[in-house]
Formats: sequence, C-alpha cells, structure tokens
Amino acid sequence: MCTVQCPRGIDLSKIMEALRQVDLRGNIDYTKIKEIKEEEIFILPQIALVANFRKQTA
Amino acid sequence: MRILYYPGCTLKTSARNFEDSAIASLKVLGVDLVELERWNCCGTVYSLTSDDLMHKVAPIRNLIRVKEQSNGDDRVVTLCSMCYNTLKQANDFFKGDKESRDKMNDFMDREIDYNGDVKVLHLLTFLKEVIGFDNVAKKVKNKLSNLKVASYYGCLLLRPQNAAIDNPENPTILEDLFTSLGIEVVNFPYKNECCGSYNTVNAVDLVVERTYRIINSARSLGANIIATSCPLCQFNLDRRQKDVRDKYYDFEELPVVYFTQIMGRVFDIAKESLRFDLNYIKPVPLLQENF
Repeated sequence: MCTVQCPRGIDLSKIMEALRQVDLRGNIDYTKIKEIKEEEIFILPQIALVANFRKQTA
Repeated sequence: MRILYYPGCTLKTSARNFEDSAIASLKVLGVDLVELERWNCCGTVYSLTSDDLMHKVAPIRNLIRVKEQSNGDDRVVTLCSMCYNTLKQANDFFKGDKESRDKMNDFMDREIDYNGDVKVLHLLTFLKEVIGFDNVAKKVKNKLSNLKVASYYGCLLLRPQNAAIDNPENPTILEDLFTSLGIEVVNFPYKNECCGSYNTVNAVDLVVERTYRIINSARSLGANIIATSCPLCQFNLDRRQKDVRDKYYDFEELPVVYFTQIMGRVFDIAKESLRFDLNYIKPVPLLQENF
C-alpha cells in the first residue's frame, strides 16, 4: 500500500481525501441524485447509496 | 454465550440472508447474538479528514450504546465489513487522539463520557479467536464435497493496517474457516482486489469491469462459488453479473454468497434461515442434495 511504502512517511490516502473534501466543499455534487434510475434505487444496498453520497456529493 | 451485535442498515433489508444465516449458525455454536438497542447508522465510510469530527459522531454513539448495554463485556461483533471498518477505525482514532476525544465528549453532552475501550470484532475474528475453528469443525453435519469456494475479502476487512483482520496481501482466514468445515478452497489472486464499491451508484461500467475480472479469475481456477462478508461486494459481484452478461457474450455466471450461508448449509440449518432467495444468481452448488 502506498502509505506503508512511502519512504517519506506521507499518508497519501489522507492527502487524497483532503483534496476530495476541499473540492466537495466548493458545493459540487459528482453524483446527480435525480439521475439515479428508479429501478436502481430499489435494488441498491443502502451502504452503496450512503457511501456514494458521502464521498461524491457536497 | 451471549455477545452484543451491531447489524447496520443493509443487514436489515437487502442482506437479510447474511443476518439470518449468521444468527442461525451462531446458535448452533452456542452463541446468542444480542442486537444492540438503539443502534444508529455506523457512518458507512470512515472519514480520513482529521478535522471532520462530525462524521465520527455516528460510529462513536454506537460504541457508547455498547458501553451502556455491555454489563462489563465491552465487545461488539459486526457482520458487515463496512460497519466493521468504520466502527473500528473511529474507535482507534478516538482512543488515540485525546484532544478530539475531549471535544467529542463535550459535544455529546447527553451521553456518558467514552474513552475508546470497546473492542470491535468482525464475526470472522470472533469465530477464529473466541470460538475456535476446531470447535466450528465439530458442528459439521453436511459434507459439501461438490463445493469449490473462492474467498473474496475485498478491501474493508484488510485495510488500513489497524483495521486488518488478517494479512492484507495474502489473507487466509476465510479459507481456514472453510477448510475446517471440510470444504475445498480455491486460492485466487483477485481475492483482495477492489470490487468498485460505491461507484456502483453512478459508474456501473467500472463495477462491471471489476466484476468481470474477479468472477472470471475465480472460475478459471476451478471455483464454483464465491464467498464474501461484505454486502456491497456481494451486490457488486452478484447483482452486477446481469450487466456483465449484457456486455460480454462469453461470460459465465458464478454464484456469490455470504460465508455464513455456506456455514449454515454445512450445519444443516433450514433453508428459511439461509434465505438463498435473496441471492441474485442461484447458488446451485449449495442447493443440491434435496435442499
């Protein structure tokens, strides 16, 4: 894993997450909730929806 | 033996087959999973952002519920890999960061003060370290000699290091369980690869590609079933096979079940508790012999 193997001890996953948060805090939604098909909403597990909204929406 | 158990949202809906089969299998082993009272969402994904304390409140509240209900046994078992990872990481963060801990305890002023001393266990760890696979082996009733299981771990049981239940590069805990159940295991290189995770909501093609590779790898090495512990991996590898089939004409389906469904089948538990009706691809190798 990148974080374990980085010779300078940089936590790359934390940096990537920070960049994601900076981007999302600009009020950007990468997942367009209204565009999710109705039949998909019925079959998708809750953890998929919640995790996606947490990671890809403001 | 009684032990507190945190189910999480998906086990109460689309992954009832996971919960029901686990509860029934644990009963055979003499364990009562006692559902936590007043549990709430685990938070689903652990926030790596250090200042994002609000997203750590949900998992910590669940651990406070454990303290309230524990009667001295501060352990909680989870089945869902996602819940396990979030609760475990949040707890470790809370335990190791006094400033954030004080801040969160002050914020949750109607809760008891918590110091991070609950032990979060995944069911596989509980089976291995508390029950013991040798004791699991004593309960075998059905020899499923036709089964060739490929174990799929995904990421959340193995990463990051503090949350890993086994060696992240070459885990064997599932294989060890199946071997103790007398089942043939198939070692396949994609067992700890990403299934595409939550991208299944808005990037189905990405998940289709992952699923195609993972299933093909397992099949090419002789597996006739895949076992997993994560409801999101299970959905991506099972349900998305329909989309894979639409894209790749040469694709052959492979059933994907929870490890507890296989365990339950070996323990000869009634099919009403194993809920194979909720698996999208019919798990034919498990349904033979007049089941």
